[in-house]
Amino acid sequence: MELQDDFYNVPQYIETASGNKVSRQSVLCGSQNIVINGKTIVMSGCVIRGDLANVRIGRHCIISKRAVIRPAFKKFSKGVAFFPLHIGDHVLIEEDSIVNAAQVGSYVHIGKNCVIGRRSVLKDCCAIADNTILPPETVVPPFTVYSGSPGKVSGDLPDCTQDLMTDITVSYYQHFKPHGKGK
Amino acid sequence: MASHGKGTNNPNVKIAAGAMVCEDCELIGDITIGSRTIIHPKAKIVAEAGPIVIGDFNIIEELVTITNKSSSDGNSGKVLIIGNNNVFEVGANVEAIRIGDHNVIEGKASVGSQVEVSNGCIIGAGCQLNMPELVPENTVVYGGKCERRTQRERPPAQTLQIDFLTKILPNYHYLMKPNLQPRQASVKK
Amino acid sequence: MATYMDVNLVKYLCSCGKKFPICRLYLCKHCLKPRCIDCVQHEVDTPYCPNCLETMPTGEAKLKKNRCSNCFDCPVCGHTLMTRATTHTTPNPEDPTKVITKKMYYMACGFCRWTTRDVNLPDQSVATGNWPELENPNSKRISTLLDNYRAMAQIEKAERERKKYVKRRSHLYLQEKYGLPSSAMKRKGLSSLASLSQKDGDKVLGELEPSATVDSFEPLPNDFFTQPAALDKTTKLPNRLNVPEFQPEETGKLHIIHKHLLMRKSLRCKECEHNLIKADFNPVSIKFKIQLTALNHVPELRILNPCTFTYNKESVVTLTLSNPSVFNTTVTLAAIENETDTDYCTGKIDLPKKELVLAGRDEPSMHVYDDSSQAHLDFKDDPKVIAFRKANKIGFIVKVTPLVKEGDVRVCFLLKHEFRNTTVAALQSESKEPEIVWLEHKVYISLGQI
Repeated sequence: MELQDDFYNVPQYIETASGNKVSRQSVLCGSQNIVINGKTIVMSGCVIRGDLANVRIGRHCIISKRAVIRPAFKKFSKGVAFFPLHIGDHVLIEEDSIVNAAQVGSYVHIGKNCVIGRRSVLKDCCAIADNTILPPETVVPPFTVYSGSPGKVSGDLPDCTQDLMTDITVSYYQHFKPHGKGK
Repeated sequence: MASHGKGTNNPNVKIAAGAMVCEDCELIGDITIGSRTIIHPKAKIVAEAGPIVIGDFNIIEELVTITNKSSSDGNSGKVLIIGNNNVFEVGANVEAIRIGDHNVIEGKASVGSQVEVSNGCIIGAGCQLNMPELVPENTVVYGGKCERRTQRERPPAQTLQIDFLTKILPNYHYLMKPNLQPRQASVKK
Repeated sequence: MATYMDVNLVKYLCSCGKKFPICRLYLCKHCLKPRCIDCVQHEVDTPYCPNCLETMPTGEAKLKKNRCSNCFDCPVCGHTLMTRATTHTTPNPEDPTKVITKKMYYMACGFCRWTTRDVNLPDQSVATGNWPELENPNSKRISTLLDNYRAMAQIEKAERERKKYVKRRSHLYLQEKYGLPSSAMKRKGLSSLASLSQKDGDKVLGELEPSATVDSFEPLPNDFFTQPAALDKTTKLPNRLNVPEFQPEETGKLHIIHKHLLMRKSLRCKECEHNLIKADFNPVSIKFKIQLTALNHVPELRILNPCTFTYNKESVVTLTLSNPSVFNTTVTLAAIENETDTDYCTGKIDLPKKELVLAGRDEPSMHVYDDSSQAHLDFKDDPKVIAFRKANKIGFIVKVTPLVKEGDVRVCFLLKHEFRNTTVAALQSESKEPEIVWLEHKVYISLGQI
């Protein structure tokens, strides 16, 4: 099935020069430390904690409603440090998920209502099923699907995941239209 | 600190000196926040049935809801007391009768309104406690089936994290002004 | 991801007769047939640890029972254990006034908080931890059995090779099964008979004592009935089954478990033995040396939007086709004659009679969202058939009449498309120009509920 049009209210979104669409109802803390590379959608209710550490989000990502992007901390003998959080390109994070990872690769799909534990590393082309709890420091290798609590390998992704994810994120951006226009 | 913004609008909120309460959070009703407790933006604390008293050295992260929920007999005036050194991680939902000391309520965990949490417990990410009970000390609730085990040591205090957050949060957020003297100080006098 | 778009609505028929979404199919460029995961040959390329992402040679992996030597799983919840460092102070034996601080390491689970200290495993002085390995109580018996089976395989092989002069048969299977040394595999004919005489084998076979049946159990101790069950000290069934060789009954006997390896595999067409998928050696890489997924060669069909149906009434449905090739591709659709799978279809479909021309895929312009292109004029599209045209994609109109009163409306038809065969062999035979062949795919679509 092709993606369907998703309309948004123009005054509720800010569109940047590089094509990012960021909801005014999202909370970007420490926005000077947040880099969003372009054509990424940040929906309402999202929280991105740039105040704790730098957050970099690639191109063509979708951060759905009420998702939380939060750099993770690690305790050292002389205090704590928050790790910068890098998210690759063509990443889809669905509603209500909490991403506490250290790194999220490109072409990654995180389902609804997930908790991605502290300092987890999600490699390129992997997927996290809905309602998964990924414990701290989990590594998710490419082409695997993790699900359950604690999240464990539960399947594999097709070899053409890169093409599928590119297609989904690009067409999502195309179908994410302002009200009253585009038709 | 220069970034301290306007005072709180709610006269019933009492914040001890040294606490960091971000302005961008929702505090409703009679709430007392102890010294060195950190409340991140977008947290929600609702003292519906009666006051909520939060101790010292607690961390309350974003999208956490702490509710003193009114039962069927209306606003009973019961007090929800949260001890010291507790961590409420992103998206946790707490309606408990009481929370002791040194507990960790992990992300998206939910503690129901008839549950009492003692000390040193960890309520794992996504776990739900809904039945009336007193969670024994050092219990770990984890996994999809909310399995339990007892750990040897209670979770360590997050003093280092609190120090770090105390340093950086004022640079980025407007904070509510403390309006209470620290308790320790008054005892010494 | 695949789950996001209901990829299972449209399925293509594999050459083996199974239906798969197109992203799960491969197209063998040599046989020019679709292949699926169930009808290709799987080969292990590189076993790797999903936690540390280190690769391991296949031989070593076999020796280590496909487990990582450095990463461990929690015996309680199965999550990977983390190494934690602590400082340990002991009084200096030479100078009692001073203390030596030493870094000690133990392992802890970040999920259920189990630690190696819970089972009194002493902390280790190195970060990698020279953790003690448990010895399988049955290892002796297992090794005698294995030796025995190996000998048996030798004998059987020798017998077969004797017959080989009469009848040639494949003997690969047994050799693989008991891991015979490769030198033995290479030896042919009578030489192997000489190296292992029949008598040796008989001797080994004779020594094996058969498994004994247990016919009486010790009765349960009285405490079992009189004392309350200590549930917190008893392991759960999954904990026991995780380690079939030890099956610990008490939580105090749990031991760290070496992490299972995953593998990178390559796929090979069973008919022509060409590679369909050959992944990069590095398990972190998402690149492929060879990747013949159908999605890159066969036009992809999708449903444009959800539609509603009424029994026995014609509805208009828009389907889309996108062209993976850089050339313009012609597609024709036809009904399947003498359809064998009559149970599948629950509707009648009226297909466009004309050829459909798909524009080539042009990567740079893919990300430009310009709706004002004049492409539809270039192709002289019939607006009754072509709903829209956008880069390498068209939307076309079909009419569907459901033949059931309720349930899923499903249709199937034949999709024929041009395919430019760019394999080396084909290029050589046709002077430089790639040969154009027509490929046929049976497509099964589940359009929605009535």
